[in-house]
Amino acid sequence: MAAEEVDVCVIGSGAGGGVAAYALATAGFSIVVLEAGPRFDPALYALDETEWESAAKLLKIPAGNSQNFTSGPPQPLDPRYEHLRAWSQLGRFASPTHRSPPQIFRVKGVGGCTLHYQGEAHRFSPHGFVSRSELGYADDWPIRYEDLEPYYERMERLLGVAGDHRNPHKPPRLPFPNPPHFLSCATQRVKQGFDRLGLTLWPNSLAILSRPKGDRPPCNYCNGCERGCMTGAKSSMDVTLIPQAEATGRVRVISNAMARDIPLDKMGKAKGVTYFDRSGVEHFQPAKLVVLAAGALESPRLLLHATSNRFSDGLANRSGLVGRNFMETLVYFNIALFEDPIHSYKGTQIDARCWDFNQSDPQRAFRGGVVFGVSALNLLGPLSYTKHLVRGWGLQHKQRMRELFGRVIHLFAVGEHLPHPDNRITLDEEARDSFGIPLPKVTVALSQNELDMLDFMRSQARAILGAAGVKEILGEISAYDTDYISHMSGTCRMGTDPQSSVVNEFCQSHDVPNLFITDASCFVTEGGGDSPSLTIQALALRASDYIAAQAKKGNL
Amino acid sequence: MHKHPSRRTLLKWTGLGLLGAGVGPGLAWLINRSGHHLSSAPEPLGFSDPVLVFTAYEAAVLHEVTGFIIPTDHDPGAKEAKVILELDRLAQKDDRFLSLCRQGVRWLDDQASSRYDQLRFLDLSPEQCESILSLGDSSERSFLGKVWDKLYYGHSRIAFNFFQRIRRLTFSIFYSHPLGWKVVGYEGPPQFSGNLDYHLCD
Repeated sequence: MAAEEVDVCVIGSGAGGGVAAYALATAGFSIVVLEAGPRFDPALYALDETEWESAAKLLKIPAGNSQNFTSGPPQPLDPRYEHLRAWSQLGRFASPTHRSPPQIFRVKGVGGCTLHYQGEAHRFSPHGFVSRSELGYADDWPIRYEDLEPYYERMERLLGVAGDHRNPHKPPRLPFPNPPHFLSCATQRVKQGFDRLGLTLWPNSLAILSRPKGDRPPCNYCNGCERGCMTGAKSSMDVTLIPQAEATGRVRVISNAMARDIPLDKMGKAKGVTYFDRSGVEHFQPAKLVVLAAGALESPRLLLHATSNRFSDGLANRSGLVGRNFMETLVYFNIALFEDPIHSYKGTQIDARCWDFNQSDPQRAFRGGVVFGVSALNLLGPLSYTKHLVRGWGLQHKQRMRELFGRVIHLFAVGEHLPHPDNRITLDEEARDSFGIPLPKVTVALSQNELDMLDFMRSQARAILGAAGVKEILGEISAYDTDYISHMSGTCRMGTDPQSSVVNEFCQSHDVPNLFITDASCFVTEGGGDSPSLTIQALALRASDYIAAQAKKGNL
Repeated sequence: MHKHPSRRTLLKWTGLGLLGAGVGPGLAWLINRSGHHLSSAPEPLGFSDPVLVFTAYEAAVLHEVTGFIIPTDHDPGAKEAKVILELDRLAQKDDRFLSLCRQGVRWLDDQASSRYDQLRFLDLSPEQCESILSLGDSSERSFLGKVWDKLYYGHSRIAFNFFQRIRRLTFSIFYSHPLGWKVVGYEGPPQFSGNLDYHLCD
């Protein structure tokens, strides 16, 4: 039996899809959400079990380990930056000659990557939208901070974002809906180094409740955000906007539904979505409008696969830019040991950020912004220390565990990877998923600009830790040779010119008027190292308002 | 297209064949010889929970091995946490793991015999035990050594595979146990008590 036509079919239920489903449902549209992954049950995240760290428990949590893609030829390492090679006291673990193939941390499941994100809710700074015209690098967005500001504010209210509005490196603003979280003991310790260098380590703005909101409790600082939040204090889509959207009675979420195609009618408009269910049976969901929000890897994959007579190079790809300008996460981590017990496993995942270098500075050797942060990351329980820091056995091992546990913290930096058309997602016709769909192939390289940026991150981090009185540096990892990607963007960039962009300023395809792309694909730049979720959500909210207004006028 | 085997491959398999033919009868003798350990007098562990799949002797050896991995000092170690009972539970569900443990114990006894002229690993001094266990730290093994391990113990690189697996599991079990948490000053799983004192330093 053919499915009933709905107003909107949303592909993906993460930051972009979840918000679009909620906003369009509350505007009165009927919606089907197709989610490629399952619906996770927070009760099974096992953070309350004695064996919560064991490998067996990882099977039922949204741990961000979906690696269903291939990669292009690895980039040879530039020996001038040999000092950036990853190392730890356990030895080298990356190739000495080539950059490692990317590892992408993402989740397929109802809620998407918000299931495992750390709750960072950053507004991009105004300069992040005008880097070409005002700072002379990369490209300008077709919108300005002011266009997005009301949507940032609405999103912060919807999510209950906690933060300190007095951040001197961000534009003046109203107070956040919730007060900031206190800095953890560990962060207070590292902050001494920032303070001594005249830098500002500021409470992070987090979509993690510092006060109750509805039936959701405030955070109890278990630090397990990346494994999925058991209490609902983290504002992931599965506990916030998706249930609210479903409560309207106008939204149906279909999990384990892998979108394959967006067929067009004779007029060249999307007429729905073809998808596979878990058992591989193909379905067609008719819809008057399609919102694609599968992320910067999967959205271009779907478009490139959806070829037709009208779009031989991929749907909505007359510009040839679908998949191009892939931007990854340019990261550097310093694993630092402190003498005193700082209980580094307690708190929220990233409770503080330093935005002093968020804006590109012509005095520096590179273009683009950098943001520093402090986090326990994966060093939570004692077992994680045995995996990442303390090997060996016997009394020596036991004593080292005593010395390290709760005293190790990551000082890290995230930098802006500048857009380049040769960094791209293509289809790998040689490798297919279980549905026979070609896997996305990631081809990405770092330019000298990025290497200089990593060099800056390293020297700054070492200076900060030195000033903080670090006891020992246990390792360093950077994007120079290890490619850990959690933030991706740019592969369906927005712009006003259909020749040089895929979607317009409202995330609407230039080529297919009833197709919208509301994920990080449409980013033009990365906002100087800020995290992307809140900007994805604000763009999705703005696009939804536009859709509702245009539909009312009969324009879609 | 059919590919002719290279000279190197031919030599390798001929060598393996000869090795197998020559070693076969000796292997049977060796296996019989080492089998006596399985029926040796059990070393009582004194636990109220029974060990179900390991023999008493195997359990005693494995119990000792876990004690070397995380020894007892002023804090409890793997023995006090009864790591052996969890290993036994795992072996109940995993025949391959049971085999690895069984052959690992045999390998330890063989080392005791060949290096120290003792019949059993349990008869060695702590220094001698540590010396043997440290062989499991290295993944290096000659080709013939791997063949020998596979033929004799059923697992290539028996020392490395056995010791690394037991070590990893000992860590996993011990640090998921309140006694392990006590050693490092950890309060226990993240939920549901959380860490409301997260912002307080000592």
